[in-house]
Amino acid sequence: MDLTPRPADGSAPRRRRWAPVALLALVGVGGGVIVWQFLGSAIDYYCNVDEVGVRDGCDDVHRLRVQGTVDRGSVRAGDASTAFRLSFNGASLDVRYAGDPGGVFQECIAVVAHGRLRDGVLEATRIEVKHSNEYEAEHPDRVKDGEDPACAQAQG
Amino acid sequence: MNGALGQAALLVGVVASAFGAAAAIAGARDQRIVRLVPRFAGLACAAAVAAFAVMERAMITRDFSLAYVQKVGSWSTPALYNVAAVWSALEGSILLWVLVLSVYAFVVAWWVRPRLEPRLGAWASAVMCIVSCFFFVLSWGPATPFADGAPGVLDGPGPNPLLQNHVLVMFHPPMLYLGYVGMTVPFAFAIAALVTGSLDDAWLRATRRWSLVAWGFLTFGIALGGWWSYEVLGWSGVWAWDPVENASLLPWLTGTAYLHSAMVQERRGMLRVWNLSLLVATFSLTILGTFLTRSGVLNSVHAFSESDIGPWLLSAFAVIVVASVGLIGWRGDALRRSDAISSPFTREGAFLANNLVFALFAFVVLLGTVFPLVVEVVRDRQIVVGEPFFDRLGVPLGLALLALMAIAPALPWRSAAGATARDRLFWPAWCGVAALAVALLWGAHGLAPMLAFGLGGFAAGSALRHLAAATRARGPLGLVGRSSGGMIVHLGIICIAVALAASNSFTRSQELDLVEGRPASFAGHTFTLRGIETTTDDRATSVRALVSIDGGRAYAPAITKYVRIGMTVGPPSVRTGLARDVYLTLEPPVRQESGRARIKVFVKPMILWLWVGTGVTVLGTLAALVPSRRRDRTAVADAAAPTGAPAPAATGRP
Repeated sequence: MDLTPRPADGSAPRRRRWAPVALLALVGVGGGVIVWQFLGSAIDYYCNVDEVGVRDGCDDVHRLRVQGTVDRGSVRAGDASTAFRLSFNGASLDVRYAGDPGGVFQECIAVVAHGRLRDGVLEATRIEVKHSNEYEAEHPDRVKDGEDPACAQAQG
Repeated sequence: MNGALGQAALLVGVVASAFGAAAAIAGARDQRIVRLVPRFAGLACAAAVAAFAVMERAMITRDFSLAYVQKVGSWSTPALYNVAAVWSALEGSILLWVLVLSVYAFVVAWWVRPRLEPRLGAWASAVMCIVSCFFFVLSWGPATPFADGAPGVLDGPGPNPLLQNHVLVMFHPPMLYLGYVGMTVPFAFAIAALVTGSLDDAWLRATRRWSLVAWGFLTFGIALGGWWSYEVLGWSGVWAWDPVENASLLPWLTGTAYLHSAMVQERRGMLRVWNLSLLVATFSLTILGTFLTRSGVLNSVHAFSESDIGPWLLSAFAVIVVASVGLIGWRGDALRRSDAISSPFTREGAFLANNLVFALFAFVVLLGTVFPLVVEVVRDRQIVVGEPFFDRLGVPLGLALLALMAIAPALPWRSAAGATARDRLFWPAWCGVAALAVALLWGAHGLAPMLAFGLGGFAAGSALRHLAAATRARGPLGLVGRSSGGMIVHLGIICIAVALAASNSFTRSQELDLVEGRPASFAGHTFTLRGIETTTDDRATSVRALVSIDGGRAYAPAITKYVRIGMTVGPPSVRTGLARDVYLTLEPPVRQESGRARIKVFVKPMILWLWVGTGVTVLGTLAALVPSRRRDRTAVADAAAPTGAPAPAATGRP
């Protein structure tokens, strides 16, 4: 019986190179953490005015997009900011916007204010005017809930 | 009558495309049957043309017996927008999709037979016909535009006002659809290759131009969408990371990755599974995008209508993904190659890096787009992922792509040659330094925009170096062909990237209270209110402020209320310039008799170069479609080489 050790040939199992795999995994995990953190910090919660301070997420920790109707007679334009009150389903929220909302913003229309809550006031950085007839057609109850009685009377 | 005619045409389309698919599958075994495929595809195409023509006729003649015309038609809509109203809501959009898809399916059925291995061609036609059949069924059933409307309706609201005040609504959706739907062709060939086992590169070479054409249309369509947003929405931007915009960007990202990685497969025979996966991803993302934006699951400023086609599209998406992944797994052994990229500093290494960045970019956009949907399902909370997420991740990825765009063309195939690359990159690097210096002199600042300018100059230098070498060797003919066309496309994309960086970083804006005849100044320009006009017709009431800029002609930002819909829009007015645009919007309230108007002024640098870059990209795409001599030689050599699969009748022909 020949017990001489056989010389190594090409068929010997290759050593797996762990370093590149580990590096790739590290990059993947690190990238995943960064993406997750960016994602978390860029989330805005949609809330109706009556959900602010009540519903999970509609708090002063997160960025909010608050929907409501601009109260009649509530718009006060200052030199550098505009203050107004939003109402929805019987609840109200003061909003302060740094600048003039411009566009077709006016009283008694449904808007979505983007911003953060500070001491019970929404510091808005952007005002979107909701003016889609399709939105009204599909959510008549919401629009009805959101109507300010003063606006409803005036529109009569 | 229009309703019955339209439905009948769509039913013919359903049947013809189903028969076409069956004939193609049977024809993969029996060559006599496969001859029927172009006829069935032609019949389906004729049916789609007929259905579309009937819909246009119904819209033009204001046939308010149809629910769709009641929804988007109106006697007061101008003729141009009335024609475009056909694709202004969901049902018409699907009909346009059907039209484009059936034309592609017909052309492919005729084109494929004399050019490719018969089984491969038959299966590719089968896939095209199956996808056509699905969309015909969708248009005939759940998304039919030919449903009867409520009786007694004599007029309608017309299309969404945002879709009836700019000529781009005529071109943006059709161009986008030519791109989206065009991605079905390379997908069909990829599936055919997997089914038949013809996994050499013949299908890939043969469909290169199809992929390029679809990519060109998609790029053009996306750019036209940005232009429309800029000219119509009045917020002065071109891109807002809206779900519909993201839905168009996703297949563009994976499609662009594919155009690069396909070259690696052609030259080195590598990345086969990756290329198939990219084509599957590109096609399935067009379906997923349609689901996300047309089913009503996500809010979007572009979601002009919603319907119950969501389950259909989601099911189609699931079938496509499961079947494709199954096929790739089934052919896994045949697709495997032992070759490896020898160095990251080779052309193929750079293309791999480019593909990883594109894939990561697509993942980020997809995550940000669908995350609200996941949260709503899991936690019953409505959220939105804001622009900062996309900007923070998109900017570094875009910069990485610019860097790769500069370096990759200078790297040789197969083996790294440091001296060659250094030599090729010398002048491009100086171009980058020069671009940076010009930007500094111009007053630019900030890390991201400065990097964009520097890397943009570097990448432009690299592309110009290539084009200079090609024209030295071949004269003006050096500007056409795949590689030179690709470099021209690079120049266009660089132009767009730099213009986006400049306009996003250095826009200045201010509101001005103008009194008639009294100039006001901002950002080195004077603005004078010349008057206020009010126009009223049966469609809308429009108040326009006539504002002259720097004493020149008057521009007219307006506030227009569409009386039938009760919707107010604020169309801007723009003075376009080589260096900067001056963008005006009118702010309410405006009273004609007051002689006063508040306008918002945006001074936006380099916007024109977005559109110039788009034009250059389209020209580059056209140049890349022209056969180049080197490619033809390669194709002939490959056709002569044994591949283990039945030899195609010919390859490389357009």
